Amino acid sequence: MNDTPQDELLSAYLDGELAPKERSKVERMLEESGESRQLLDELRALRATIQTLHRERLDPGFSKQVIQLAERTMLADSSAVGAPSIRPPIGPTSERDHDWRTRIIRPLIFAGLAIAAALTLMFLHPDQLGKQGPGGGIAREENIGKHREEAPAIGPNLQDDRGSDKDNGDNGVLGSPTRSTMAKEGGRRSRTVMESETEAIPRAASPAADVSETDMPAAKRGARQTVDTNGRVDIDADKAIDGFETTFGVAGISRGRSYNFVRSKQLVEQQLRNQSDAALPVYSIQLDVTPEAVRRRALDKTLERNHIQIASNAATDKTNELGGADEATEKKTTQAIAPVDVVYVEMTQSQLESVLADIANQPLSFSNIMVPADPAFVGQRVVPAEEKETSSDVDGDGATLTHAQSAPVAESTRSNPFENGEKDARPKRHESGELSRSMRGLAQRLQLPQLSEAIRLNQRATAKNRPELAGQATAKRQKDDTFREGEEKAGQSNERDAETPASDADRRAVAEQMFRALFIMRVVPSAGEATEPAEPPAAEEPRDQDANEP
Amino acid sequence: MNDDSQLIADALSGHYGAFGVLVERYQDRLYNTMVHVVGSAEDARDVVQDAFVQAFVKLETFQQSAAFYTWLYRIAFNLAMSRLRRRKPTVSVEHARESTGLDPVDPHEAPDCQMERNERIGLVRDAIAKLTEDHRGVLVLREIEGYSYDEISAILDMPVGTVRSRLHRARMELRDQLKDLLQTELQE
Repeated sequence: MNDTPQDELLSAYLDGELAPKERSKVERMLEESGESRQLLDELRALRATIQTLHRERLDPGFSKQVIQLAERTMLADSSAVGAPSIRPPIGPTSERDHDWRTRIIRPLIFAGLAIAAALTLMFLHPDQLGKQGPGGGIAREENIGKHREEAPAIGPNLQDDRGSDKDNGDNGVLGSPTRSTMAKEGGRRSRTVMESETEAIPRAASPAADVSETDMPAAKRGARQTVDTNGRVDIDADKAIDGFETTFGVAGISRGRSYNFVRSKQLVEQQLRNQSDAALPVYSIQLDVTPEAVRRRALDKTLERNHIQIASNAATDKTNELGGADEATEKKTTQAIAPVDVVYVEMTQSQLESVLADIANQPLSFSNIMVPADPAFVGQRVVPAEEKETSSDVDGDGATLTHAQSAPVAESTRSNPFENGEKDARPKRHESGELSRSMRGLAQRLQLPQLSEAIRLNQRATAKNRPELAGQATAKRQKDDTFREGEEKAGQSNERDAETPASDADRRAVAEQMFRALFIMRVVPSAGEATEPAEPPAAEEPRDQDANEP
Repeated sequence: MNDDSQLIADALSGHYGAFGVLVERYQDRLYNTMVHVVGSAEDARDVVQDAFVQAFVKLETFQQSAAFYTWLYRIAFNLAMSRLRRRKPTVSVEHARESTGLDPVDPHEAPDCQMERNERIGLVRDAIAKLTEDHRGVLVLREIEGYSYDEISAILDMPVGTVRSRLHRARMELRDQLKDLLQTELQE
C-alpha cells in the first residue's frame, strides 16, 4: 500500500481522530484489504515501540535553578538595582519602568529588604529602643510608653532560634550584630545598613547608644551578644547565600557587584509565628538615593529637620559639623557606600507627611519615591483595642497615646505645597483599611506613586486581559513620570523651602498617633555618575548640591 | 480560575514560589519531549531551562486563552528549533544518539536483555532524529505528548489537515527505517 490519502485515514483511525463517516469508511477498507490491515498493525507496533522509550526526568533542584536564573535574567534585563552602565539618568522614566518586570522586581527587592529589616527590629525589645537614647523630650517619653505597650515581647522561642542561627554561622540579618537608636521629639528610628562590602562606614560610637546589660530585660540578655554599638547590621552576603536554604531570595546588582539577601522562608515564617501577640503595621517607603546624598546624609538631615533625630549619630554629626572629623575617617566614610540603606522610623503622621514632602522636594538627592498603599503587617494578629486601652499611661499624666485614643489632628503649619489638600480622618486604631486610606490620601497629596496599587492595577489588567485597566495602569505610570519630570525642574527651588523646620512639631507629635515606616533607600548613581564605570574617590566628587541642602 | 491560573496570578504578584510550583509540575514532561525534539539530553535541559526563564520573564504576556503548558511548549519548541538550526551543520545523528544519554539500567535485567533493549531504543531514537523537523515536531507532540490533532494544530499554528498528513508521513518514514524491528515486534 502506498502513502496515499487513504493511508492518512488509517493513521487518523489509529489516533481516534476520524469523524463517524470516515471511521465507517476505514472499517470497510480494513475488512476488504489485507494490505490496510498490515499497515495498521505496523502503525500499532510503531506506536508501541515509541512508547517503550524511557521517560526522561530532570533533577529535583531544577526548579530552583530556573527561578534563580529567572531572577538574574529579570534583574539584568531591567537593571533594577542600578548597574551604572545601563541605568538611564534620573529623570523622566524611561520605557524600562513601563515594563512589569521593573514594577514587580523592585517591590520584591525592597520587600525582601523590608522583611529583613523588620525582622531585625523585631529582635530589638522596645525597652532597648527607649532606654538607650540620651534623654529626649516629653513627647518621646510618652511614645516610649506607647511603644512598650504595642511592641511584641520576644519570646524564648525566638531567642532560641536566633541563638542557634548564630551558633551555626547562618546568621544573615537574624543573628547579626544589631543596634537600635533613639530619636528625639516624637520620632524614633533605627538604621540597618546592608552592605556588600565587609568594610563598614565608620561612625563614632556614641556612649548614648551603648546598650548595657542592665538596660535589657532578662528575657533579652541571652541575646546580648547580637547587640553592639556600631549602629548597623552587617550582612555577610556570601554567608547568607551559603547558609540558608534558598527558598526565598532577593538578589540585586549594585555598582557592578552582586549581593544577595537570601532568607529561609520557613525561618521567616517561624519567626513571625513566634511573634504571637502583635501585628505591627509597617510602611515601607522606597526611594532611590544618590551616593552623594548618602555621603551628605540627606535623609538623616531631612529627618532632623522634621524633629526626628538619631541619638547615635549625634556625636558624629557634631564632630563633622565642627570640622573636627579626622580626614582619613572622612575619606573612608565617603568611599564605602552601602548599596541599600534601611532606616526604621516611628513618627507621627504629620511628621511622616512632612518628611515625605521634604524628600519629594529634593529631586537631586531622592527619586522614584514609592509609597505603599497598604502596610505590611509583621506578626500574627492585631492587639484588640480593649487590651490597648487598659495598659498605657506610664507616667500617669494621661498623655500616653494608645491606638484606641484618637487625638485631634493639628494642621501642619509648614510651608509645603503638598499639604494644602484635605486631610483624611485620623484612624483610631492601627487597622489595615484605615491606614491604607490614610496612606493613599497622603500619597495622593504628595503625588507620589502608590506601590501596591500600581502593581494591582497592572496585575488585574493582565489577569483579566482588560485593556481599559491596562490603560489605567499605564496612565498612572505616565502621570508618575510626568510628576517626576516636573519634580526635576522644580526641585532646585523647592529644596530651599524644605529647609524651614516645623515650628509646632512638638505639639503635633503629642497629638497624633505613631506610624512605623521603613525608608528603604537604594543607592543609585546620579545622572552624572551613570556613565562612570566605577565610583570616583569621594574627594573628587562635585559638591555643588551641598549649597542647596543643609 | 484553574490551578495554573492561580499560580500564574501569584507569580505575577511577586511570589516566585508559585512559578516554582509550575516549573516542578511541567519540567519532566517538557524535558522528556524536548529530548526527542532536539535529540540531546544536554540540549534538551538547556532548552527547557531557557523556556521556563522566558516564560517567567514574559508571564504577563500570557493571555490564558490556551493552557499554560501549551504556551510553554510553544516557547520551548521554538527555542529547540532555533537551536537545531544553529547546530545542524555540525551535529550528526550518531552524536545526537550518544548525547541522548544512557538509558536507566534495570539491575534485575539480564545483561544481554539490557543490551538488546538499549539497542532497540537507540534505533528508535535514531529514526526519530532522522525525521525532518516538521515531521519530528508533530510526531513527538502526538506520540510522546499525546496531544490531539486540534491541540497540535494550535501549538504549531497549522491546519488540522496538515497535522494529519505530516503525522502520517512521519510514521511512514519511521516505519521504513524500523522495518526490521517492527517485523520482529509483530512476530513476537
